[in-house]
Amino acid sequence: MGAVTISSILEMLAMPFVIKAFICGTLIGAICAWLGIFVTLNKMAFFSESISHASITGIAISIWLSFDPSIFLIFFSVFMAGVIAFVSQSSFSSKDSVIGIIHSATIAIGIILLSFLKGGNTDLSRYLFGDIMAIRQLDIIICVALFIATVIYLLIFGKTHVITCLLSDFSVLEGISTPKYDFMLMIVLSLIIAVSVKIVGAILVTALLIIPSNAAKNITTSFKKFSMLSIKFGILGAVLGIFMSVVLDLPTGPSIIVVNALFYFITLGLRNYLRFSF
Amino acid sequence: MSETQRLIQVKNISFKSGKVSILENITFNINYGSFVALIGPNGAGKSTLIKIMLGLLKQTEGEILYEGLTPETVNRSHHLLGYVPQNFSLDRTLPITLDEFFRFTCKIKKEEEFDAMLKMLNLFHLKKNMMGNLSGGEIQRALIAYNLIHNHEIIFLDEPTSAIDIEGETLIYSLLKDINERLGKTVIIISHDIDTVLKNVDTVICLNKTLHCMGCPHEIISGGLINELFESKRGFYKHGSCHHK
Repeated sequence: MGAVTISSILEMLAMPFVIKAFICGTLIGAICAWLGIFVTLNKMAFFSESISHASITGIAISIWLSFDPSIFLIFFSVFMAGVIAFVSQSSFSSKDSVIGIIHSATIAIGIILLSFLKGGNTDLSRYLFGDIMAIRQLDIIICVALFIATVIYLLIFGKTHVITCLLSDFSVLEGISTPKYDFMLMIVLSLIIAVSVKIVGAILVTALLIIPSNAAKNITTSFKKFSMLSIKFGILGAVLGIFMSVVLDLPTGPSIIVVNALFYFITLGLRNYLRFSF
Repeated sequence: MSETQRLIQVKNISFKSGKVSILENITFNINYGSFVALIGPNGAGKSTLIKIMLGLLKQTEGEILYEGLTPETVNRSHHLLGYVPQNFSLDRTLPITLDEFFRFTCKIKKEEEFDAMLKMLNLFHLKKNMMGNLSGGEIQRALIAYNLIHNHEIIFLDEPTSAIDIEGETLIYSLLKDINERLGKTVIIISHDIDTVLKNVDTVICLNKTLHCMGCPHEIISGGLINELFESKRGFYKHGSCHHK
């Protein structure tokens, strides 16, 4: 690797694929952090993990059927969210157990399907580990459309999701059906996960949802500060992660997650050792 | 319809969990504006009964009517029913202040009235505190405030003083008495603290899977009905004859 100078960094940052990466990374970082607040509130981290790992099967099916994985994953993730919701409601087992069973079964099916694919497959490794630098025009359009739709959704229903979390068992007394809103959140989450898989990969996508909000939770004392800081961490994590990836020639998805993880451990240290909160 | 005629009707309520019978053929009426205690030994079905009355559980048989309306109808459109659960499942690490809790869960029309409510419940100085840092008694008072802001006409409380000290308990009961007498709310409370309950309420319902007895406190005490209840002698049913609300 040659010497890295400021001008060479600026040159790299001005490249079209890097600009696309910054656009998508920032949008996904922000929206995942915002949604992550509700994932943390409703204890849906395991659900998110399950949907993201199920995308392995989605990718395998799309490769087999020669569909575009980006579009196929959107439908497949929503389908999986529906399966989890349906089985959870009609099963005697706890929701966690149901998600665990579906999670394992889906990964197993995905691995079996992948074993039939001969040789390496670029699409597969891109979706498993993420490849934000390979973002296409279509991916940006999908990303921007889902970002706008999710922002509108959260502006309309965000408050109700907080209420269902705070009042949990008795929100029905105020005419609010918790299962209905939980299902709606599951669908929105599965859509965002489907898009984020391309950026950070199926294995790491849950981190985008849970780390910023938990980092913010460490040092905030009000919901307003918690929400704002969570979104700031999401955006900053994406920007710094992509920058680090470009400058140091590292994989982009893992770089974003490492930066986010640093935010978490720094805020944890601030809270535990310096008793800092605001 | 006059105030005294307004009734909460519990008609032939039975509830089974699988094959296990939790409640059997419970029937009684409560007048709106009463302060009612639901007492009975552990496992008597008290919490189950109020969850059925709230519409949170569906009874196996029978019906509950609030001036002729089922709990489901009331919850869908009237929002009359308030609830203070025994265990409020709040994530104590969640960064949310008491003030934010109310602003998320209630429609606050007038700031002055909201502040006055918090002062009445001795919560005003805690407005900016994180919910997770509040004591059990403060959380219970916050939930009572939540019900008052929503203007719920009937408030159910499931052992609201089980996790708080004597001082906190006295405060909660004096608040409930005030809410009942001054604001005219119907208060239905489950408690194991029989002495305190009997001093404060106007109607006592004794439950042990079936309805054991119902009446005003002095009848229940003087008739020795409480002793019978806790000796698990079931099947005895008596409606008190004294005038209660």
